[in-house]
Amino acid sequence: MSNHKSCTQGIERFSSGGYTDDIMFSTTFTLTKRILGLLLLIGGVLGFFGILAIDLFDVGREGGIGPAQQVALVLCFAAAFLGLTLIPLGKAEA
Amino acid sequence: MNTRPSLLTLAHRILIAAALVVMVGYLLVYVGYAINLMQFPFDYDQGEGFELVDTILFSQGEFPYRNTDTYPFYSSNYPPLFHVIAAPFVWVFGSAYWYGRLLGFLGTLVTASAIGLAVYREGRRRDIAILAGLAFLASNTVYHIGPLFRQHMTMVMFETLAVVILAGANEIPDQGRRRRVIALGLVLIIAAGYTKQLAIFTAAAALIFLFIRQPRRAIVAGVLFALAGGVIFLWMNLATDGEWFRQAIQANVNRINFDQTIGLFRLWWYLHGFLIVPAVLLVIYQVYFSRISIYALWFAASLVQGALSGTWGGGDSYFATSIAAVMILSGIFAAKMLNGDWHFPVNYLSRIVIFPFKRLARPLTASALIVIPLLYLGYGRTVMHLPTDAPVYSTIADVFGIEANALNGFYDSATRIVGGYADIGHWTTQADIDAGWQIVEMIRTSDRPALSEEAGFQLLADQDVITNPTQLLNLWLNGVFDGTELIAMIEDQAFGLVIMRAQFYPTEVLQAIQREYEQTETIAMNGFDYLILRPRAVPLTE
Repeated sequence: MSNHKSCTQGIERFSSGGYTDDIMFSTTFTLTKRILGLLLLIGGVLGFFGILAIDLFDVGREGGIGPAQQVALVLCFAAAFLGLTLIPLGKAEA
Repeated sequence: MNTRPSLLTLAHRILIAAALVVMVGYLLVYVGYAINLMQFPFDYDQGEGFELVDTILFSQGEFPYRNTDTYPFYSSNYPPLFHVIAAPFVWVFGSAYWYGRLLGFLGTLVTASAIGLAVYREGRRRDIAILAGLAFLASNTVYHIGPLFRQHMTMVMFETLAVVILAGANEIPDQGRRRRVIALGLVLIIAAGYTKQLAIFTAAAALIFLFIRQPRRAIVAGVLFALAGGVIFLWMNLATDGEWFRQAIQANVNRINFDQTIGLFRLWWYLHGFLIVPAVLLVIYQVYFSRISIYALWFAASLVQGALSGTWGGGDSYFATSIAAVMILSGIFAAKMLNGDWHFPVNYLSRIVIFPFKRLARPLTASALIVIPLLYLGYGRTVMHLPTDAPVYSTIADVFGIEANALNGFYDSATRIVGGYADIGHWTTQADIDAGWQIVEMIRTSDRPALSEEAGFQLLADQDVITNPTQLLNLWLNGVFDGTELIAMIEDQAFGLVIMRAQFYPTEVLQAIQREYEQTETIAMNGFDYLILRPRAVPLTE
């Protein structure tokens, strides 16, 4: 009984936290601001460190972080920051 | 009952009318320029002639993606659709520039109409919708590349149509109709991509939009979209023995000159800032207080497209897509301001930056009656461009104290000092036409074929078009051009004339030309000096 209750509470928290109970590939699912924010945050952070990693793995290269990389880093940072500001908007449709 | 409009409403109507007059004025300049160019029988913008050659080849059922290592060393780096659309004109009218320029011009009118439709659909204000469409045509960038025999503005037309069609597609309740509308939108994006490769950014924006609204639908549509585009790509690559990939993809990977990109971004901001600000405000509103529209995503993607303007061969035309997006977003913003149509849900941002200023809502809506038309008037001032010595326009130029700052008595507020901003937009003269025919006559009287950096002269002299210099340079820069045969022909002085405009050939080709040929004449046409080179009696030693 207590397990069922905690499970229901968990779903409620999940829904009220900005997630819908639809699965992502259902025909009625739409992205919320929170999910979009999370995607942007994760994508931005991964992209940021991925770009830095180019210099770590491409050891033959010279000149450090080039102008294209700098622009890409700024864009990744901006995406992550935008994502962070969207997460508190919860279940509003994106 | 007092039915007279208030003073504010009256002022609004007068200012809107003034803005419309200014925009219609620019439309007239644009139409005059287009008619002038359609009568000009030579390359106006370098490269137009090679687009005409592509069109001629397609009209003969041949691909222009060829092996550039052998005679006539010709190939194209552009996708085929624009040239395929123009090909029937070749069957009827032969080789000429006017129909390609007409198609480009008509494409911009379609784009402007689609912009107007998008704004009207969202805001139900006819005056703002018309202003938004005309403002697109008034942009210096759109004006000077619109009526060219080039595929760029046709790509923008397909992109705009696709985005406007997809904008409300997800909300169509009938499943069959919704699928057809989405399919049409995606087909138009494929059309844009096969007009010019840069449409890939619009494709990304459209697919992200579909994903945000309905991921499952986006994935299904995206897979079908990729399949359709991929099958065409593979077919063309097989049909051209791999030259499609080499010429259109490999040759198009170029380094970015960031100084040029930054300069062009600053120019874009300077010219369109009055409308960029409301466009950005609408994007912020959608991101934090409403749903994110396809226009907002398209605008963001178009800025990435603009960032590529610093590549070799790039220029201000790379901002044409973003200008279309700005016009739609700013038009919708203007309509929402005038309608007072803003809704702010309760969230952490509205609590901080909106609700404390709620009492300003009414005065802000009232002030919009004056501010919105002033934005369009301000924009009209910053994009000023007109011929200063043509009838009627010279009077306007005198009244406003405008002096020519470009070729053939033309004023362009973009000033043409930023690298990558095309030195075009001025009207051609009879002297330009005479100079062009003089070069054609030289080719006709030569006992050997000519090597020319522009194809028009050879086409009019009824001779083979040999080489496409910018494409050879693209290939050379990417290490996929073997110039052995071309250089051998130059060393044999197989060409009676070499006609140079900007020395676009790869360095080793230019060095061979310098060794074997000497400049004998210079002919000024359309503001450029065409260098005429003839074989040296005694070649220079290396």
